[in-house]
Amino acid sequence: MTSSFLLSAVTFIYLAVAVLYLCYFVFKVRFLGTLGTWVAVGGFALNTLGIILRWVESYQMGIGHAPLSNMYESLVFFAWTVILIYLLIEWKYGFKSIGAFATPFAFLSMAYASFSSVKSGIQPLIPALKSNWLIAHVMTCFLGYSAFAIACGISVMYMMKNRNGTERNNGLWNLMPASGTLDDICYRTVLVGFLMLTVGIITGAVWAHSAWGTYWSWDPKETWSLVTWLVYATLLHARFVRGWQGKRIAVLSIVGFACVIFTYFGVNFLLRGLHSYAT
Amino acid sequence: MSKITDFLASVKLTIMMLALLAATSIIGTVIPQQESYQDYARYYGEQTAALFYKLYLTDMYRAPWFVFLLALLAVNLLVCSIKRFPTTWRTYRAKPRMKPGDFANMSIRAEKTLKKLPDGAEEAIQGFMRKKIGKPQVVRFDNGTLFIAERGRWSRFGVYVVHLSVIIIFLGAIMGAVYGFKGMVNIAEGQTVDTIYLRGDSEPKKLDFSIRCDKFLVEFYPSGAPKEFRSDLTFQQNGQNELTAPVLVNHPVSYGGVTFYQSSYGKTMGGDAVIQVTQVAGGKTYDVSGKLDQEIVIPDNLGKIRIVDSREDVMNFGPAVKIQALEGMGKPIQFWVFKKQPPFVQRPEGPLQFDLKDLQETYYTGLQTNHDPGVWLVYTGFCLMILGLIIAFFFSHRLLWVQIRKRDQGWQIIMAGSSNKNKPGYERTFETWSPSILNPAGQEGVIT
Repeated sequence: MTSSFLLSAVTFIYLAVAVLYLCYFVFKVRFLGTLGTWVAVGGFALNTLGIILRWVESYQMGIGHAPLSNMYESLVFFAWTVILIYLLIEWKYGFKSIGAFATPFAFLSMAYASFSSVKSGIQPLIPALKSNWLIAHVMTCFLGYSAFAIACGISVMYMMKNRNGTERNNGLWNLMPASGTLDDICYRTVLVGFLMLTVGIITGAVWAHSAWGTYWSWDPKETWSLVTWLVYATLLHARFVRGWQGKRIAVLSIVGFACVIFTYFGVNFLLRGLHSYAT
Repeated sequence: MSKITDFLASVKLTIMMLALLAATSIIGTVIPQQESYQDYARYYGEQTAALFYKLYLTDMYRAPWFVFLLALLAVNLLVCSIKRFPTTWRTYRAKPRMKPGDFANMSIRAEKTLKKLPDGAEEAIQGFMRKKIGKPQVVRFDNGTLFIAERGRWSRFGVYVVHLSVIIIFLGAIMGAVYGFKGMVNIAEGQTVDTIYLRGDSEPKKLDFSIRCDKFLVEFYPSGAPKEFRSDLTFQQNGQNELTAPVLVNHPVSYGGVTFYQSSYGKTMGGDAVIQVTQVAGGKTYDVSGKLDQEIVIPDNLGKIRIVDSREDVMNFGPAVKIQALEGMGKPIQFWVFKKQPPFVQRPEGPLQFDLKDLQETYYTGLQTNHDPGVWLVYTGFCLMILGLIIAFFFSHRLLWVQIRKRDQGWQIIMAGSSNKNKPGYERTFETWSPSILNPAGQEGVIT
């Protein structure tokens, strides 16, 4: 099938992107950064094409639906959103060093999707998933997840750049933006992620209400998404009103992303509930 | 008193509550909820299970302590918002600075001195400000002019919209819990019911209408995965068919304020039952057949019966139906009729003897039923929350002052900005504006 071939190619392209950004960051060769951006743009285009093709293929199989219905498809879409949001951040702020800490998430996601334990076949939709809310719910959730992933990457950068209040400008660290800038970009990214997660949870609730008659049933996935939401809400209040900045915000953002990871994977493997089809 | 209010209004409490709710919510994802005591005891041991019950951990999201945490968060949110609102209102009503000066204490600031003010400079600055931020107010003073423009003053209320939305969602949830109900009903094909079973209630609830399941359909993909579940329902009131509609997963149907959701299905013995009726005097036999709840007439005016229950197995003697003899047995009695009569069960005395010849399976549909008068409030809260977050996150109250002043060396242009949120972002925007404002009408002429 063409889409799966295309998407496995994208896996390697994203690996190249991550390596290019990392080499740019370590060896400080400007050209590598520029190349990284262009390869990322190319990979993103192919990723987009792969998703569209998979969509078309599902229609050719007579079971047409948006390719957002199982673990494999969500991983591919997650990679797509990571690159999308990263490129927007690079375009807006112009720091390519962030690429070294953001694009690996896209590669890891695609690499995990290629494991044989993740079924990559196009499956028909079970009745619960046949809803117009599917696209809105999955898209917003994953835009949120990937914004949080990048915010986590930036938080790690912050922790490296600023050691106990001292800014490190020598050697490895001089291509990183100033820690104040990292703090600001991280915070702005969390805002986007929080809005997207909120819309994701809300569309999920509205969908659940039309499918099961209850907009909130405290199933593990719902609860974990709420836990994630609460962690980021804590971060926002700490920052908005208590004026937290820097390291404490970075720590909260990393904790928040750990919750995202658990909501995404942990719940599927360790806990049971209504979202069982998402494995 | 004010100490308590201060505590209830504090953001410290907010942060504590958010973190506490996040941490405690996890418990219910690790301990399976609403299982039976036997299951907990088997899995965790008697003592742990008893402890779980003591701490309400088996149904923790409805536990008093968890509801208390939620209520405390709501109170905190409300008190905090009420306490802060007057300040925000005053800031909202406050006029921006109108006095000329050096704007020395502004963190976002740029200046330049031109030898000569180009023609049309004021108009160019005004036009630029109108385009980028808003129509400027003009203050003329002795040796110069001050322009003040602003946008997004209203965005200061975004956070209150978000907080209000949370309160509204809570109110909607409470309204649903108090005035609504959730229930279950299983209806076999062809069966008509007018009661549903409420969650946690053993007594069925009577509806003021009845529902007939005309047909249940389940389709599978070749892989064996389910493709479609569909129940064709007819809602009846006073014996009249009022509404016939299919119910599918994701496509519920509402009637009489109750919404019906396709939830499960199964097989039941509610299909056609074939009953052999034997006339005790004479030994003549008749085969009659019918479904659950149907009246069956025995030929030759011998009687009339109704099947009131049908089971796959009764007392380990296989399939049986419970019959109500309406006519023909002398008195209206109910009794079980078996395929294989158990030796210890007495047949009822009367002119007729009944035996079950065949009992067919049929599908039943499992419907989730729900009446939630709070859902519109919850959805209103959802919309407000999204709107409020967008305002709170991505709109800010931004001000821009541009002052032109005649000095000894020439014309000094000062531009200064302030923003209540995202200062670095405004600084970046400000930097893109400064060339156009400091070189009005495209003129260069720097001294300082």
